[in-house]
Amino acid sequence: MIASILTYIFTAITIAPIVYILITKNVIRAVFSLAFSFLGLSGLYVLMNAEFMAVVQLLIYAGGIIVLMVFGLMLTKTTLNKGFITQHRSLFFGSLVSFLLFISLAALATRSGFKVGFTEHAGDPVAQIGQLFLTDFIIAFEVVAFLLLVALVGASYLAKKSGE
Amino acid sequence: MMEAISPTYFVFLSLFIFCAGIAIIIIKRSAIFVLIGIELMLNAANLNLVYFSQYDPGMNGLMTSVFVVVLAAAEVAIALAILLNIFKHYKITDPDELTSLKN
Repeated sequence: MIASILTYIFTAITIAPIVYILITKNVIRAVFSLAFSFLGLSGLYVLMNAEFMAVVQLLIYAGGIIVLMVFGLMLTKTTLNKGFITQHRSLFFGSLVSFLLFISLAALATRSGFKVGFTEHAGDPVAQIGQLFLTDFIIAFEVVAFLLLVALVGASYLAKKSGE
Repeated sequence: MMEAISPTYFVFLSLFIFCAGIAIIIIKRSAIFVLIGIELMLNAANLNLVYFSQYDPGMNGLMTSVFVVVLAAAEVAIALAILLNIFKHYKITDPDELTSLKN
């Protein structure tokens, strides 16, 4: 019962900033709304027994990606437009495409009738995740670690080279 | 823990987030908004993966979503570096006005 109420509250915290991002023209407000949306998603992950994912969401999304976006925003501020105001374009077709996609996928989701059985996870989930990283997912783990290294070095190189 | 709420609820929630991301990418005239839309779409996928992973003893969905988060972080770092370069050369942030990457 309490879990259901918390789920609805966190859903509201997730959805309300997204609706605000859809209607606002201010980029900096949109970025900070996105942070609130990530907080709501993190709460939902806790309710789904995925505490590790909730912490990862808070650290990387709300902590890292939001800060990166704010820095990118501050560094690309033009004096032409006032502040961080942007404009809308093709409002009708954008809304139409996403609305039609939503309708069709929602029809698909209602018809499929998902059924889930309750499964008790044996042991500590975080310890299990660590074991899976080093056994079943070792190749993906190494590849993604290398990719992250290359991506961050490449990003700093790209950002530095333009300063010359 | 979540028996009271049906899976369709979460499928619809992630569906809404995904379609909102697509709408943001199409409608807004700013590269940062495009990045926000991409992040929202990745988060919608993650929500589904994590939700259905709690009924999976192997936790494959949860592992996949961790990799998705790492890829999203790498993608944002690269995209912002490219955006910074574009801004230094052309003084624009609107992806529509950008017609060439070289000269």
